[in-house]
Amino acid sequence: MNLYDLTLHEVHEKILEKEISAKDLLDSVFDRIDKVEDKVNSFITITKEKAHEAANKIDKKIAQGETIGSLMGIPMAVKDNICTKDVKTTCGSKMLENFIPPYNAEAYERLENAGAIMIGKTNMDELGMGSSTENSYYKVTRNPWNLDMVSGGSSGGSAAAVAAGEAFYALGTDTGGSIRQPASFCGIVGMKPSYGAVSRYGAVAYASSLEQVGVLTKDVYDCAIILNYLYGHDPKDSTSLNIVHDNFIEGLKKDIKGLKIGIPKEYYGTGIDDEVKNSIKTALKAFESLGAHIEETGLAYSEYSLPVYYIIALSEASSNFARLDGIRYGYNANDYKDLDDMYTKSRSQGLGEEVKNRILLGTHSLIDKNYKTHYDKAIRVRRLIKEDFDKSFQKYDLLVIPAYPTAAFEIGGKIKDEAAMYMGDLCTVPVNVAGVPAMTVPCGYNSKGLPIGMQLVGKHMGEATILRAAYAYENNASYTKLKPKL
Amino acid sequence: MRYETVIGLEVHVELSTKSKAFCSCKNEFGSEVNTNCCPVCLGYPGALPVLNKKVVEYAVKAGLALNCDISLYSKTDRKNYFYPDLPKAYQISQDDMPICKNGFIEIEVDEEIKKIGITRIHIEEDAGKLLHGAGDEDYSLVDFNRAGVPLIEIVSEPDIRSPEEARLYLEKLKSILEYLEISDCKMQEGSLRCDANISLRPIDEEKFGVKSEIKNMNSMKSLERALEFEVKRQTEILLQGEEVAPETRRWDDAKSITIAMRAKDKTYDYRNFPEADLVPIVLEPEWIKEIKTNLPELPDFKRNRFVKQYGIPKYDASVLTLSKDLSVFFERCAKDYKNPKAVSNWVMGEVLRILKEREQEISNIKFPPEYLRELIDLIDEGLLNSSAAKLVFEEMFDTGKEPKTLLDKLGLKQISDEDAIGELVNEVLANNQESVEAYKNGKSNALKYLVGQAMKISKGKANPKMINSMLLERLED
Amino acid sequence: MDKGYIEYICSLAKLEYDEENSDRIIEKIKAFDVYAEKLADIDTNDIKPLVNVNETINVMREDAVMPSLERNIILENAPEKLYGCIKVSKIIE
Ligand SMILES: [Mg+2]
Ligand SMILES: [Zn+2]
Repeated sequence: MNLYDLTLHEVHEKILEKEISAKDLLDSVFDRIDKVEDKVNSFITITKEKAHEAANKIDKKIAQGETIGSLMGIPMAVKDNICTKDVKTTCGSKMLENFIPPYNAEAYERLENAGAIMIGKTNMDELGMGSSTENSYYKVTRNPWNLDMVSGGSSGGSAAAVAAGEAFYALGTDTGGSIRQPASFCGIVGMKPSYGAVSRYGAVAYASSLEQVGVLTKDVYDCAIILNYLYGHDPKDSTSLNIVHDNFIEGLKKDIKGLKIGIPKEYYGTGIDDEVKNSIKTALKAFESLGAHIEETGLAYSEYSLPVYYIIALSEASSNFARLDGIRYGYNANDYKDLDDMYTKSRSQGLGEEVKNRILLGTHSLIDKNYKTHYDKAIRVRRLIKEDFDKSFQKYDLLVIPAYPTAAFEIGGKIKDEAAMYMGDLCTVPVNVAGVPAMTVPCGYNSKGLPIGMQLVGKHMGEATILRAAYAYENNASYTKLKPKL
Repeated sequence: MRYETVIGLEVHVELSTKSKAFCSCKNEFGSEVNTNCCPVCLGYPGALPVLNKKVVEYAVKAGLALNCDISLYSKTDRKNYFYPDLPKAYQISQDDMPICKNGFIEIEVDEEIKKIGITRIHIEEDAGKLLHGAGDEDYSLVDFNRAGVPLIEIVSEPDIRSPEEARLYLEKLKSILEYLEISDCKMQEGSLRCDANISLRPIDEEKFGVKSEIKNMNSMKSLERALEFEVKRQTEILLQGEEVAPETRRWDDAKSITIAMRAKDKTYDYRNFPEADLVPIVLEPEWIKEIKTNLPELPDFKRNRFVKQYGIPKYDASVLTLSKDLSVFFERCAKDYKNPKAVSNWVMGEVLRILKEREQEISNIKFPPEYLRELIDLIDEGLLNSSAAKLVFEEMFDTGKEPKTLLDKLGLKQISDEDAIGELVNEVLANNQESVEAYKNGKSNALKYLVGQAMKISKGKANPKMINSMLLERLED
Repeated sequence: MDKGYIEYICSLAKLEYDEENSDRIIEKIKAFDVYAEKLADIDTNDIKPLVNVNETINVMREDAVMPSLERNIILENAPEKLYGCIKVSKIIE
């Protein structure tokens, strides 16, 4: 058995029992990285030296008898759009190739303060724009279950690192599925928190009103541990909620008898792979056997979620990324004739095609003549979508939908089926539009041996319920125990 | 053809909070470049704004003092444009829901009260400062200390009808803001900045003419002069049957002209939309009421009180209350004094004169107002005549010392001794026979001349009243 | 929707306008508009905008000063700097 194959809570037990040190763990993880990183390409930056220094400190503290918290001395990875003090934060973009933030993102800082050991920054689609991590300026991250397949995105590096045993867990961000979809492709657990539950401070904003920092873990229990640290008010983020959250670990142990699960039919239509449907069907049977009630339902406004999502996301992005102008930080084209030329060249050379296209669409949505039909219309329909979810949660404790219509697709081979592409967006983005929490849990494998994921969607701040159901399911089905062969 | 001038002013006021609008950096003028900056005000990726409570309080104070409706619900928006002094490439401002609306300011034009409407007041953040070399450098430099400093923008209705009215409006506005103690209002330092929209239209015409926007007016005087120049320029264009170009123009104070900066034909599309990193501002009516109750006495109210309480002319009261500091200075001098008009004369005369001459602010005066009162007492007691008093005053202004001390030091104590005065009078009468004759022949002006001569000999120290009466006595003999 | 329009939004976004690529962008925007058009089905006249799903209000901080960044840190990240300032192309006003 290799240490890197264990879960966060398993290695924590070993540290607690003084069976192993933080250094042992780090060595194991770096051995693993040496072996597989060339194949998987999870990382943009590896901070080996820093990690060793941090592990040393932790081992000293442990030797001095300091109380050992659940994260202490355990290696983890951070998506490269989450700012880390004195460590390059590139967002997968040439634009930020040399950007070194003088501050930590709040989410990361909470973990660091709890003794987490960061081993590196993970690859991602440039600025979060993409769903395969093929759209990084630096490299393509491969799926540990099959290196010809994508890892998903935009948090593909984080998902692959955790699945490949290169980190015990990883932080990601989710604007429209960027944690849940790669988690599904890589056969791990991924959580997109309720909007306002986790501070966005220091997470490079793509679409401010849609995204949250979340976590990708090996199993549900680990996820509960991390969420206990991440959740809670941050005065530096005006949208961070000032409310007390449940202790997620305590909630895990309760059973799910009587839990009401809704199955919104809109999410199971054409485009959803039969193997995915069957896996979820089996999972729902498991839920029933655990005492949950399953019922078909509907979310009538679902089809509108997509235009609403794209208009809002791209509008906000066009404004959020305008600051990438090559003046205070970032890429600066050095052959320009005047100010305007400097702006245009720096941005055009520093940003990738996909990003530029999306910025143009966002700009188009915000100009005076389109504002009413695009942005303003979208934020009004957004209310209806949210109310649709609210209504549903008056009846159900959870909704279960596919994490994605298929398992991971091939690198370089876009999905050709338009219905599948459409359903791909539909599975993940409505959750961000409504601001509710959702978790991907592995629920089977397809005929090619690739993981399949399902999503448990909860009401706003209903994470405890999601975790409890996911934990019960995981103990019943135990898909999270399987590892890719690398 | 005769034309009517139509002017509207947009005034940006830097609020004198301790910290910036959306981050905790120091809000301070004149710090070393780029030392009051953080990830938030530099627009670093991932940094987020949090609104300073004081900014809302100050904006509401301004709104109440300017007779506005205070919005119980308002929000912030992003105004998107690229400029090197604008770190995020958008300015956090308020677009369609400003915090205050529909107010007015009263100004006095030709002894009549005129109301100038205020369309709106909104909260926004300032940009950094661009420093341009004097010579032919091929670069500009950016200092971000000012980036994120809180501003309120006060937009007037196009109710202003002359450059003079524009100045009166801005003077009154500045005065009110100073009373509220929410801004330094220093035009030179840029904490009060004014842009003017000005157009002409034929008298009796309702439709507005094409306007130009004038920028870079750094004092009350340059505002008035720039607008006077514009009135002339636009009139000439219209009289020639041509059209005024819609453009932004810059006032060049040295050349005393406005210069075209850029055309205004295509309005820039700022893509305003709600700022999702901040949340709406919802005000409690109770809180607004509390602020209203605690507003300080404002200039108009104080002016009326001065007229009533001190019996000084309305004109004096207006001048004295326009500046808060001046009004306080006056009141500390005039308190419990039998002749406030004398104090008013001193403050409006010598005090304002010397401040102007020395280019100083009332707040920097070295001596306490009570010293001026002591000086006036000395005159009343006959220990100083008015010309000597002016010398003492100047010395007091420069040194900050007590008038009594200075009086002795300067040897300016008034000569009121009967024998000494008698000697002086004798001397003058003996040396000015012609004038004596003239007086006796009915030329009463000759007396004034003789008094003047006596004062001259005494180097201004003689008591002029005593000289006058003693001279009369002798001449009538 | 023509090339002139693409050039215009490129100039707003400070992105290079590429004549050759502009037809592709036009197609993308057209497809996007068709997508957005769907929302016209819904009458939103009485629906208030929703920007923040939590509809939080009044998040403010006290007016207190905290330390700023060291200037050398700011300058380290800046591509061009001079005299403690960030240097940019000459701006003519
Ligand atoms: Mg403004
Ligand atoms: Zn700051």
